[in-house]
Amino acid sequence: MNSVLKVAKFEIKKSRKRYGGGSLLLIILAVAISASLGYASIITGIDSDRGIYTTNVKVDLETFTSSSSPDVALFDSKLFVERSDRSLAAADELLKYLKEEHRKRVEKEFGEMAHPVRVSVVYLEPSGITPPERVVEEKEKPPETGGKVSESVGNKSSSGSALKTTTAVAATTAVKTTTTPMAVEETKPTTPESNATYVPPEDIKTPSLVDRMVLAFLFVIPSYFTVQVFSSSLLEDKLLRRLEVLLSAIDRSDLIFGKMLPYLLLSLLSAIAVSIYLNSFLAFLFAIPVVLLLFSAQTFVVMISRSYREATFLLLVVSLLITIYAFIPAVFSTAIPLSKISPITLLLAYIQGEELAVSDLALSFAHYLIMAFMLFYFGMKALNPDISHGKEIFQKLIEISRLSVTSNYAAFIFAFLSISFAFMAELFAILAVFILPQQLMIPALLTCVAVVEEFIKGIIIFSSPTLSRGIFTAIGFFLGEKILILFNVLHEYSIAFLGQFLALPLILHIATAITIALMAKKGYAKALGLAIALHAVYDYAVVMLLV
Amino acid sequence: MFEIVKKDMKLMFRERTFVSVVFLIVFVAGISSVVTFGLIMLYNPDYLGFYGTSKVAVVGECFIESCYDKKTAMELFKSGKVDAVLIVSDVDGIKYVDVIVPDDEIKAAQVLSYVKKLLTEYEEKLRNVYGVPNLELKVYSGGREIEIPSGSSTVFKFIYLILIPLLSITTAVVAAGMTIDSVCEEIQSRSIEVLLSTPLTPFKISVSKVATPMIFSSLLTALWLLLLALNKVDVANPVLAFIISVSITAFFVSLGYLMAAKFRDRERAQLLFSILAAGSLPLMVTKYASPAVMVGRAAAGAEIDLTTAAVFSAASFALLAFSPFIAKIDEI
Repeated sequence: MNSVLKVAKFEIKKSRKRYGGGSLLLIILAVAISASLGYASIITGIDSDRGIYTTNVKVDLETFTSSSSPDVALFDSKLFVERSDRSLAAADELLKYLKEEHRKRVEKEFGEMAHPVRVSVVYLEPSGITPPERVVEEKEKPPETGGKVSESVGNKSSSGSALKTTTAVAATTAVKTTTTPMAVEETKPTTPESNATYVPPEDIKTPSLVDRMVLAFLFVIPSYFTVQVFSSSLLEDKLLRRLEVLLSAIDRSDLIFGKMLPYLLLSLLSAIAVSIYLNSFLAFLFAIPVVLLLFSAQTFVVMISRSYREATFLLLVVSLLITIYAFIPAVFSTAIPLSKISPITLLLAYIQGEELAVSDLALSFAHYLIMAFMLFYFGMKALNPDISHGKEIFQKLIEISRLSVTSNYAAFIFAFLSISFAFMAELFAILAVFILPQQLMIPALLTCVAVVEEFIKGIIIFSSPTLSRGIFTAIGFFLGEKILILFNVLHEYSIAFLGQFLALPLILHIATAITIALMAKKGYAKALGLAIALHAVYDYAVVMLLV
Repeated sequence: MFEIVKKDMKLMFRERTFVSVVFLIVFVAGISSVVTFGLIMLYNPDYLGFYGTSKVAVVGECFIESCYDKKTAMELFKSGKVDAVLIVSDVDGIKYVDVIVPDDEIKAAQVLSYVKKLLTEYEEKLRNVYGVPNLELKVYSGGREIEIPSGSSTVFKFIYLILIPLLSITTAVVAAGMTIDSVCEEIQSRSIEVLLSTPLTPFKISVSKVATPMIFSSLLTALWLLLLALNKVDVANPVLAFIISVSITAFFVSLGYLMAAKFRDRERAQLLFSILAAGSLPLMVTKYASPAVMVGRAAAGAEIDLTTAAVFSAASFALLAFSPFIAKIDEI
């Protein structure tokens, strides 16, 4: 511990020297410029879509300009479009506008009869209905989404004040007609102010995560900069062979953690600051797995890259992958239960005040922390002159595997844990095959799965290509897969992962692992190729025959 | 001079730089369709008819088949047999509907988009009864009536006004990062001393340090434009999009070169550059006059301010041409 602190202190000193005097001033200036540029973009709004579509009539809409050969043409309540994306998009935009105009017209002409249906949405926990004393508060809508609504209500009340009173009557009658005391009644609007929540059906807003998505980024964005400074500093020490000198006096793990500590603390502090700002004090905990994964992945990349250039691009790629992996699931949280695998999805749910299932929390945190731990571990093993300088990346991976996987038990454990990486890679494969034509999706996905799984197993087995190592690796990997099935995360994708069968996957994993072990002498590429082919053919056959 | 360019290019291919950047770009472009799909579902769950089959119970004014008394409806809701309860009360012909949905974001979003559709139809029906006109608009394409998927415009704007500008900026940022690395590597590893002992002048070395990333990024820009076209994204004006995109790169590469030559240290130059790039990113993707937006608009076939584009391109290339004069990487 002492030496960790010593290294950390040294690291801070090094940074202070580098960012002393003029440099720091420049960085602060850059931050100030960046902040004001960001602010300028907020206050000036978006106008990138100005005049992007064309139409034949004059419309009071920024996005349209008139043209003699328009994207969308309007002739007596008929819209004419071409079969191009642009034309369809223009029609969609114009339709929205015309609907809005029509609405204004009927509101002006018919007053409150323009909207014969008014809706108020009440969010209620089904299990919490019975206790009569419970008061359910109606969720307030954020002002920016409610703006349009209150505006239209305002218009109506100016045309006739009857609206407010009638709504109040409606509310009270509804309360009176029921005799069973249920919690819903408490939500009934009883004051004229709360009547504003009755809106026409087209104004119903479905809950949206977009605003909070931006909030989630606040937790992680400062870490991108700290992790960048960390990896730069580590890379410099590595390339100038300072790490090798330090290694003679300090333990590997102490050295890496000591160097990382100041930056990690900075990231943590920024996440805590965001938590306090959002009044959601424990929210920063959800950012920790993502930040740790970022740090560990960058450590690993620094250790295996040969030059600044190579490192820069690999760092960019892994940061992007992690960002996508953490944030994209949150986009799908309204549709795909699997999205709970990302701590960011859970973070958003937590800020919203939703209850989180312990199993979701455990799975998501374990998933990220296992990957972070393994990358740290491999990064430390790679801190070795043989690996640091020279050689191809694939050769380095095998070298790292040789240093890390020292026994059959280790092979078992690593294979078991590496299911996290397989899972991540396979989710990316699912994203990637989306762009393919439908009939190619399943074969492409199955091939991807075969490549990912055999590659991971192969790297572990190449540490010492023997029969026993192969079998231990296969069993570890198989158990890892089954654990995921147990957690039910793969429920919907079990076709792709062939999760519903027990004995067959075990036989497959052992068969391919033995292939890899036996073929390794003839070349790694040949061994992997054969195993992948075997795996893919098996997957395809099973899908075709049994599913 | 060409030797250095050749050496840098060779290194890039050997170190898988090109491969990883291409991978990056392909990945960004490839999953764009997925991201668009997800965003649309967030903004607008009824896109692609994502209504699902929610079950609702109606209390009071009965406008669909499944009507109950309030107590039964609430019990059905509690036991999860229905997803929402609609309590309808009539006051002078106006129907006030309390929609009770589960306090769970995912379910509520699905149920509400269904309820919205249901109640909008109910409103149209009532308007017909009350003599309030509904908007009757039909859309025709090639002589046939078609249905416009709501959200088409959002998808279109996402691809041309966010994704393409982002691809253009990513290319420029990557090229600038490359410039910083290649300049700082020569300085920090002191290989610049060796280079200076050759007949090459410091000026020529500087020129070659900015030339390599420019060649690289031009190839990359052409590649992603081609990939977009293969992905059935129409690129209306590829030449214009290419020229503006490459001028953005020229601007970024000049900045990267100047910072690297000034700091002579990768860590600080990269940090300063990324802070500035991150700060200007929002402006670059939201403004009509932003060159990155112009790339997207040119691809979409929309009009752009050609004067601004020409001035920006000329200024960027001028800056690129002059940057080896402004800062030389000669003295150690």
